[in-house]
Amino acid sequence: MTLTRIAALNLTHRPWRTGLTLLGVVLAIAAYVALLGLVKGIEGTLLESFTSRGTDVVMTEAGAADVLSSVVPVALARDVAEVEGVAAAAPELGRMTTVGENTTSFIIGWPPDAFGLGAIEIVEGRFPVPEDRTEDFSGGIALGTRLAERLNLGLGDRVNVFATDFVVTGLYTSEGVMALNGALTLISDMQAQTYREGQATSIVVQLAPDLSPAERDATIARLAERFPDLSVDPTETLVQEYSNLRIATILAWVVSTVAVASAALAVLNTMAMAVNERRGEIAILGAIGWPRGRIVRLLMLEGAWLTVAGSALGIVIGIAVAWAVAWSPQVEGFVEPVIDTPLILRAIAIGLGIGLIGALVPAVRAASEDPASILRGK
Amino acid sequence: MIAISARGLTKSFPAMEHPALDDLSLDVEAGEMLAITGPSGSGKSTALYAMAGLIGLEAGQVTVLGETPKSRADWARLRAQKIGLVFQDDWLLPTLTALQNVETPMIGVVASAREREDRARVALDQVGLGNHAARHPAGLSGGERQRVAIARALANAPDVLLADEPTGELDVANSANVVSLLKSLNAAGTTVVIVTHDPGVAAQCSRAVRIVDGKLEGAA
Repeated sequence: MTLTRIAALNLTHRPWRTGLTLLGVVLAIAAYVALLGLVKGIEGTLLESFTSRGTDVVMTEAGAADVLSSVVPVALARDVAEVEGVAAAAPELGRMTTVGENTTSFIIGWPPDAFGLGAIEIVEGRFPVPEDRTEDFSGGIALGTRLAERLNLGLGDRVNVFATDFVVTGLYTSEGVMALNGALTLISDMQAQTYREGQATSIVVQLAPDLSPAERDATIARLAERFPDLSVDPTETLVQEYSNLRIATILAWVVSTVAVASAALAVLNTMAMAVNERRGEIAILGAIGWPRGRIVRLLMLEGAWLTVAGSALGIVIGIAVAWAVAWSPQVEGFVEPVIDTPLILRAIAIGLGIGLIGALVPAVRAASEDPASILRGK
Repeated sequence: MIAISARGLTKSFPAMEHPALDDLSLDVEAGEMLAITGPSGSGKSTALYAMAGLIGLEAGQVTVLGETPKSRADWARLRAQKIGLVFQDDWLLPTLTALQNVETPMIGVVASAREREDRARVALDQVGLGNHAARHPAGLSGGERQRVAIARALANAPDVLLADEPTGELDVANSANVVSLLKSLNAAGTTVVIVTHDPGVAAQCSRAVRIVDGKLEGAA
């Protein structure tokens, strides 16, 4: 018989109360893991969507809330490409839109010579060319393999995009999940269909591969100086400052914090009730010579048992929920949750924190009571 | 040799008109079996709790086996090692078996879990409940529960056993069993102090004192 075993027996002896408290902890940890895992996944997906296309720097309209709401002239790409340290630059028109009947996807419009083409692998067919625009079709479109699979489309098939028909000219793979679920078309065809003649959402830049970090920073500074009306951001910075992502992160933190606080209150309430019901048991432990510290440890162990089990279960459920959301029809695999070791360690730390804080106050109060008044008779 | 020396014990409770203990002094000889009697509310249980260090005193001092504990921690150590306690209610932990209940005082005193279990079995055998070790308190009769509580009090082989109305909740047969058990422990060398209402129980002790209004009857 050990303290740990006594704590475990005390919990299993009251299965309903233990179960309900456990549920509170599980929900809090699951919410934390799922929400932050998804937000991190969105961040990772966005970053990957740029890096997988070989983009180092993104230039957008200064003050635009995000890349998709930015407007920049296509013609700037030529000037950008001439700046020292820049290997290549291309205009890019991005748009989140419906492809086919009701599948949401991210479409990118590129010129035929965009450097990003070198970073994707055409597995079937080819990238669209101007000649794909005919009487029947508003242009050609290359689909990511995962999108093609979901839409059950192949080469030569007709697909409705921007309320008009495009012909599938190619299928490609890429490292990025967003790209695999996305589509590429010619920027000119896309501009024609979205009333954005001569416009792009960004100029994407590939820096010279042999630049040192200092030279890289200097190149970015040169770009910023040369184009003061544009915001010049390395891809990592751009993603972190993406306003929608920041809102999502704040919301995830708020919801998780409320869930965690609720769970802490549930544990505190349970421990307070359990201690109140067991004043006699706690008093007898004092009477038989248990020092106050050992009684506090016993009650804290009960809280720790609850939260260790709750955290473990919460992490598993949180991972399952995050993936279920990622593969739900609304999200359709666009985002892969990132549930890494630091996130799991933080979840465990939060779980233990809930248990220790929730158990400490009632434990100290119980251990400080005068046992004589309790033991003199039930 | 004096096992317990209580000097000038004074304790009041807000709801009581007179002090529960009023400058009470009492010596308990090592090896004796002392009964403390008196009417309800006379202070006899309070005196016992004071001898166990379970209540704070306004004045007075208790010395147990030559030690005069000063702090709560000192008293806890003394109770763990040298004083066994039995109450009117058994106060067994309902989640633990009889054996596990008897083991609880040994946690922190006896390092080996195996030895704790062995000693708990011996204590249960001593009270005649060796075959009830795996039962939970709910599966035991009142008399059996009180005997398990006595086994728990014996777990650390105390020199002094303090019992507050240990037969108060028991029928005649179980009461006789418990008193007989306490007598056999006393015969084996344990100093026993029993607070009791029952003159029959007091008559079986080697000495009896009476407390009235917080004072020892007959004391100046």
